[in-house]
Amino acid sequence: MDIKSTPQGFMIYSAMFFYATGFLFAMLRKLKPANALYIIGSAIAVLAFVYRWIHVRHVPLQNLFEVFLCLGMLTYPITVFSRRVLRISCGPAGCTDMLIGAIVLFPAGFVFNAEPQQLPPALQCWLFTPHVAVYMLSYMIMAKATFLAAAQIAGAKPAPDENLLGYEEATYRMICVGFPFLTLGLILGSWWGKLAWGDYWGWDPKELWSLASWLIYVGYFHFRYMYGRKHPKINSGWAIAGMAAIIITLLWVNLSKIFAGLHNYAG
Amino acid sequence: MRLRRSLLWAGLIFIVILAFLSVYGAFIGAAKAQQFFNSMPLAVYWSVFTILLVVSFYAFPRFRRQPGLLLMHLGGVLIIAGSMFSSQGGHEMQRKYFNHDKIAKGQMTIYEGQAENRVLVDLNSKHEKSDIRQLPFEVRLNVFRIEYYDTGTLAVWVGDDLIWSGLAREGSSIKLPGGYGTIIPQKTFNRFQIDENSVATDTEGPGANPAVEVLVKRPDGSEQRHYVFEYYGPVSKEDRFDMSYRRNISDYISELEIIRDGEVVLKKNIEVNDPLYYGGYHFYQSSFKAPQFQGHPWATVLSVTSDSGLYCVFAGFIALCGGIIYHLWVAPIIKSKRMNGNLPVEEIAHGH
Repeated sequence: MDIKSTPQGFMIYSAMFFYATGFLFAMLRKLKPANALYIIGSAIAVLAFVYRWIHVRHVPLQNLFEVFLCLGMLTYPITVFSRRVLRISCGPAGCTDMLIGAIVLFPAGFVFNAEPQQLPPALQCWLFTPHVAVYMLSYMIMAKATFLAAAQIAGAKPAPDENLLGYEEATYRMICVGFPFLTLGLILGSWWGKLAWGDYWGWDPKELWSLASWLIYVGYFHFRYMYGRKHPKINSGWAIAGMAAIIITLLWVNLSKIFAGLHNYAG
Repeated sequence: MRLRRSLLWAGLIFIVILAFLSVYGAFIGAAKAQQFFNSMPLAVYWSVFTILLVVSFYAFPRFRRQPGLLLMHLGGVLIIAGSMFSSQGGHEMQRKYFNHDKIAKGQMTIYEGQAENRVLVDLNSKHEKSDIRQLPFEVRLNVFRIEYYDTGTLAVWVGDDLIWSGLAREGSSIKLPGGYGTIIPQKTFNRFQIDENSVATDTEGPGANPAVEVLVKRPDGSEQRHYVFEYYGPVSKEDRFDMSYRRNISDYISELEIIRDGEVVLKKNIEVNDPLYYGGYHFYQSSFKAPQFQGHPWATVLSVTSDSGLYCVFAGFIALCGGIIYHLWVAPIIKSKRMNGNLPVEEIAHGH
């Protein structure tokens, strides 16, 4: 456990606190204060990311601490977009998103080292930021899709008065939004690999797990095309399996010594 | 109808197999995975997968109606075909059937002031007969240099345990864990020297002696000034901890020339993320060899890769990405605008 007694740490813990209390208020059906707490938490998470950016003097997406900090900042915009544009929400006032926000900030607050680092030569490429940023965006969207899929499997239904999509359709639409980002991440990474290492595909464990994650979502689309909503639980199972592969790609591959490879600097 | 259903099932099975093979490949490591995915059984797999995709273009009328769908599957075909063409086996086939002899992948070691055309071919390959092959032109290294960030990394050790490591930013106060006090990097030096007044200075000139001046504030309130050198090992035994310092590399640069028929036809300084392209090959900054003794030259190690199949793969990337974005983002928006209302939820939900 790495507790950070720094302004950066204070901001992370504050954002986590506001997200978590927002979630509790939402569960108690006190939606207005829940939403207010969520907004405050999100603003602090953005502040923490900007503070980090200034502190390290480059876009803070270099290591897992910075990646999780970025993830914590993305929850609220995704909540707003999915609710307003896609008519998707999970739980009262989209409280699962608040929970996701608190969960993803936990590793930044308590697990990963926050010492600033300089970018090694391989990371000094204009593709660094878009490659990682689109992946982060897709991961958060897929995380939300996973919660929706789990709600569908659990038999939950959105509140009928809110004109929201059912959870199976909502899962599909979230994946439709996230999948192009996932694809872009894979392809930008491949392009960057060609520039930096000479190979657009290096058979590195991280690359292979990323491909496996991507393929699971491809399988989801094919299965859903074949059977539509005839087997909603299997559809949801694909979505959850995709997220499991993403978690392995993001965490296990970077942290485990089993998967030594070119992406070691991301640990 | 039965054919379409069979193709869909076959496609799904191929996708699931590839997902499992990817996971397997991740466990065996990059070198073995490369061999595995380039092996004969997998070549059969890739070929059948490609044929399956091509057949589906004819079997599914949807491909003709939905350009995004067509484009993304076409992207898959181009990526697989291009990758097979660019692989070691693909190069071997080009040599055998088209008399197109190119080195798929290899490495060159070039010393400063020397020109070289010999390439040590990728030894993972079972196809290359000789370890060393020659390019039809020479690559000359004028200068190799390493550039460093102004601020290096300071590390604090207690015995073999690293208790802190981070950037030695001048003036930053670092409280060490475990009650060892506080350290404050005061000044970094590239070429540390003590002048005639016994003052530490950063001087101009050849060679380097990187160091950092560190003020140690002990828990009892006393202070001690230390100089920590990159080349002379850790210091500060009296403080119950050791400190070490190293500069961080910001770039590796090779100043190269391409020489063909005795004439310089291209000059370029290459660095990581900025390769040189000539004669159907990309040359990448891969590694270097430091001088083994005073006066011995530096050497750069370049990675050499053929561009065969590369543009096919990149066209596939564009088609795949463009197709997915069009099909999942653009087409639903166009459809909803045509319907002049809200997003057609039901249609989109069914409309893969």
